[in-house]
Amino acid sequence: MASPRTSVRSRHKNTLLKVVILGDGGVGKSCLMNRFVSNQFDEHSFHTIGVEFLNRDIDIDGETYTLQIWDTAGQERFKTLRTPFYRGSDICMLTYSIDDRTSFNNVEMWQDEFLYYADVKENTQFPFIVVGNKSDVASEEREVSQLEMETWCNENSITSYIETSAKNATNVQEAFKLAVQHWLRLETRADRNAPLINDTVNLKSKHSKNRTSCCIGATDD
Amino acid sequence: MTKLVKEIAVTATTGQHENELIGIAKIPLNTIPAAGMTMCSGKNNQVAEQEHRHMLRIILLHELEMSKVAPHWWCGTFSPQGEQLLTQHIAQSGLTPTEVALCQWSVFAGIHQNHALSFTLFSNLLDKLVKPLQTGAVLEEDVKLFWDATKKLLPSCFSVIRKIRKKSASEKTTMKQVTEILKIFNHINSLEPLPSTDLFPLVLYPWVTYNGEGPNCNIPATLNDAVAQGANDWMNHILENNKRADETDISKLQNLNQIIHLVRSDLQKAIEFYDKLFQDGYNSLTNGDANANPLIEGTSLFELYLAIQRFTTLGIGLCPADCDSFHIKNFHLWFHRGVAQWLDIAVYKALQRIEKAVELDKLVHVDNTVKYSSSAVDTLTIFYQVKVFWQQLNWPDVEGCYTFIAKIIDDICRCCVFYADKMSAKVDGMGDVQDIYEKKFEVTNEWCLAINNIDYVRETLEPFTRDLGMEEVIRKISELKSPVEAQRCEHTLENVIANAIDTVRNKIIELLETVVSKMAPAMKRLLIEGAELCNQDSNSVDRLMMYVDNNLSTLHRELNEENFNRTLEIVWDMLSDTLGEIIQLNLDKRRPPSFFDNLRKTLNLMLGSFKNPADCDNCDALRRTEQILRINGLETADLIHQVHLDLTEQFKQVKDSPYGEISVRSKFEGNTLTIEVMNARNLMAMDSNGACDAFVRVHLLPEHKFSGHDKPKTKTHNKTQFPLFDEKFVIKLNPEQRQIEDAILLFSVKDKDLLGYNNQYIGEAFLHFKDIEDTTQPINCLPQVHLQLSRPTDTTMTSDTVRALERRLGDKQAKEFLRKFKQRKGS
Repeated sequence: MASPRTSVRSRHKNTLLKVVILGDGGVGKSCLMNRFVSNQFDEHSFHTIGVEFLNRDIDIDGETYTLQIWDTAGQERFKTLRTPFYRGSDICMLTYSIDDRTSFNNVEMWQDEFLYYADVKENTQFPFIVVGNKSDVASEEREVSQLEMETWCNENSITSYIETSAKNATNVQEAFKLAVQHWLRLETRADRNAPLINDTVNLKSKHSKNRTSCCIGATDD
Repeated sequence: MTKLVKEIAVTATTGQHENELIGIAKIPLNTIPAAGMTMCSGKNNQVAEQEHRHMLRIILLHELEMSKVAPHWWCGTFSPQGEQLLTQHIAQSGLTPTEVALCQWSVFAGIHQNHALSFTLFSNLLDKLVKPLQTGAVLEEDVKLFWDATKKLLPSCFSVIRKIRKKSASEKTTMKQVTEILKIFNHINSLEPLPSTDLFPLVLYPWVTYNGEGPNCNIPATLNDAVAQGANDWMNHILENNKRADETDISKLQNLNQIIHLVRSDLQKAIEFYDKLFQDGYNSLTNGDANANPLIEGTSLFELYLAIQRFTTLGIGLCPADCDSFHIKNFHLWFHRGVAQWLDIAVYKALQRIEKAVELDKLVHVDNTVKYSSSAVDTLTIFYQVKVFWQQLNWPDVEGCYTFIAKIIDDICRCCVFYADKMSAKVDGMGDVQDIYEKKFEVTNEWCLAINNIDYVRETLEPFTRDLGMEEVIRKISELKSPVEAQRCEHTLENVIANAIDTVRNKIIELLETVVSKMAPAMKRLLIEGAELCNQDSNSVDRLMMYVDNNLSTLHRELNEENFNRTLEIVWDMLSDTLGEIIQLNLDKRRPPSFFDNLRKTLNLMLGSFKNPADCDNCDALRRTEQILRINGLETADLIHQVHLDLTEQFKQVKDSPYGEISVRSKFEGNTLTIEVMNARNLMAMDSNGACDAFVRVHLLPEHKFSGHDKPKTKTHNKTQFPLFDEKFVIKLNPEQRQIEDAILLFSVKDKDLLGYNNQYIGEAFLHFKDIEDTTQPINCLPQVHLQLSRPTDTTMTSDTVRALERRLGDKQAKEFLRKFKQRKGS
């Protein structure tokens, strides 16, 4: 794997965003991340053990954002290992594979799991983006239509969705860009209302009052 | 009544038969009237208790005799008659429930010595007694009785514990019995024995290893001894029951075999049984009360985890061969969900402690050799505690280890950021100085310490994470999975670390920026003052230099080089920004050029003093600021000349011009300039006939310095794109004019209008004085110079210089120049 650190910041501080990629095992989460970060694709990649981490800078409207991407293991047996990483996320990428209906049906489960463990403040909009990977498969192998995905997203008030192919590098950059833009929209709205970000761990309840953030830099500039 | 009971007592002590007693007992049942209570109201309490004890004893003995109840079985239920009798007596004597319970305790313990009663009975009695005994609501006499009775009871308890190995653990009653005994111990342990009480006299407890001073009342220690003694006894029992038949080696061997087998099967049974017990207990814990304090619950769970961990280690040490079959070997699986919670607790505690550490920090150097203060050291200690937690956890599953390490690093990073935030909040507001003249910010040692602290913590991040045992875990993953996967995990961990360090560095930069931005207002004010009071005697430049110098030297003294250089860079950035602001504002105010020129001088002064010219990573912004200042500081005539100088440079790049080309020769001889305009080629067709009527005019620039000289002009050559001018002009300059730096010749080629009023511009070319040879050679020996014709472009129009001219709205000279300049540009 190529070194993912594209630039080392020396003077200027960037906005840091923590991104978590979730989805069933085998839908191509790691491939998406590797395509995005190092523009590589490995046909025979392994199962992720627990979590993987990479980061990359992305420029949007002249601003540089450093994405800290946590790629998680989709297998059930890793559940206890991946859930601790949800807290403090800024963006959550829910993935499925368009040639696997089960993985699409599970998106809702992933969303719930995320909301449960991430301590997202209740009744707040969280920047979810739904990503249907493997858009390169032949049309007869497709099990989930784009329309179906869009319908589901609309029903669940998710406004960002995209189909990608990590294999032939379609829409991968766009997916991450879309996610950050979504975050920006919500963030500017939140700033107008009440910029209340508190770095506390609330052990009492799974749904603590304050969303915690490990990247304070992301929120106060 | 008194008489009756006394008789009972007498019969009991003289050992008469119970038949008589029953007879006696029956009488009062019929005769005692309801009014009996008032009769007895005056009775002495002590006596009443004594009577009650006697009565209890007699009735109970009778009860036991009659019912033939098995040992350890009777748990407080009398026959209805006995019950009635006792109730009656209690009522009549006015005994309190505590007194009754004390009587029962004393009597039952006594009887227990000969005929064992149920331990539940005693444990229930203690439930009632503990409170009054603890609060001292019991008479001293009774307390003594209580302890005497307790001494009678305890041997049987310990005897059960000692013999526990002989019982099958799966028997229900055994568990119950042991539970009750332990309850009794727990209760008694919570009481303060009388000073004279020796709970465990050696005579009764020869196996107790107590060797302290005075009477031994240590129940837990005795319990330990009892268990150990029990194991010993049991081993002896096995050895005795399996005596060797003879002294041959074979029988020795067989004997050993048998014994080992017995021990093993015993352990096996224990494992099966206690495994289940543990699991039940654990499940009830994890599924238990969700509202319990998670911090305490989590901590207790972790303690349980550690206890089981030790237990398992012991088990594996005892029988390494069988350890795979232990259920408990994989005990960590029960705690899987707990670890995330523990990690959270660890972070939560760490954050709390960090906050406290920052609060307590006095912001002074820890000692003379270091440049950080106490909270940095405290924070490291707090991180160290997290590490200790991780080491204690000693998580057996490698994949889990790897992920948890990633999590810990991420958490520690979060702590660092938290620390940085708290630190900057603490120093915020420090260093604001106000005197009668001004309010300004001075960099203080506290600020530097805050920055150093964060940096110190950041530096230790990497060694800290290495200490978590990353390499070992990666090696194990490599063995368990594959080297490729291990490499990926390693990459992830390294990325997480790098990211953490970077994030904290980000935080430091943020703090440095805060410092610099606090310096900005003072610097801005001094800069403006300096520029405003241009020609007057003003010390504002000196004050600015002093201010910057003071603050920078504080920073330089306290910060490390890396951070100091960063600060410098930020200062220069800030300076560029501030100057940019000032420039914009004052251009709008139409300040005279001298204003900007003064600013430029100040800037150069500062650059000269503080900036190392070689270190110019971010000079672009500064250079640009300087350039803008320079341009705006020029008088209009100089500014116009600057436009021409810029064009001279720009035109040098032109190739294959559509406007054509001219050839000239020129030379200096002393102060005499000779110019020969030779010809032009490929002139752009200006007329409808596809040719042009061209002439060349030569200008000496800057115009105002060559006033009095003609602008020589060639003849017009009609209807050709290739005119041959071949005209020579000799211009006598005075020495000053000869020496003008940056003087240039402008050749403008025009198309002659028929009427001569509206000449069209074809193009122009520049020749710098410095490119003209100073020679005595005749001019026709010199080489021709071919100059591409060009015109000002859109880029020229938007250049800083032209912009600056445009801004001088009230300036006629500028206005006139621009009008002509636009014509030169053409359309």
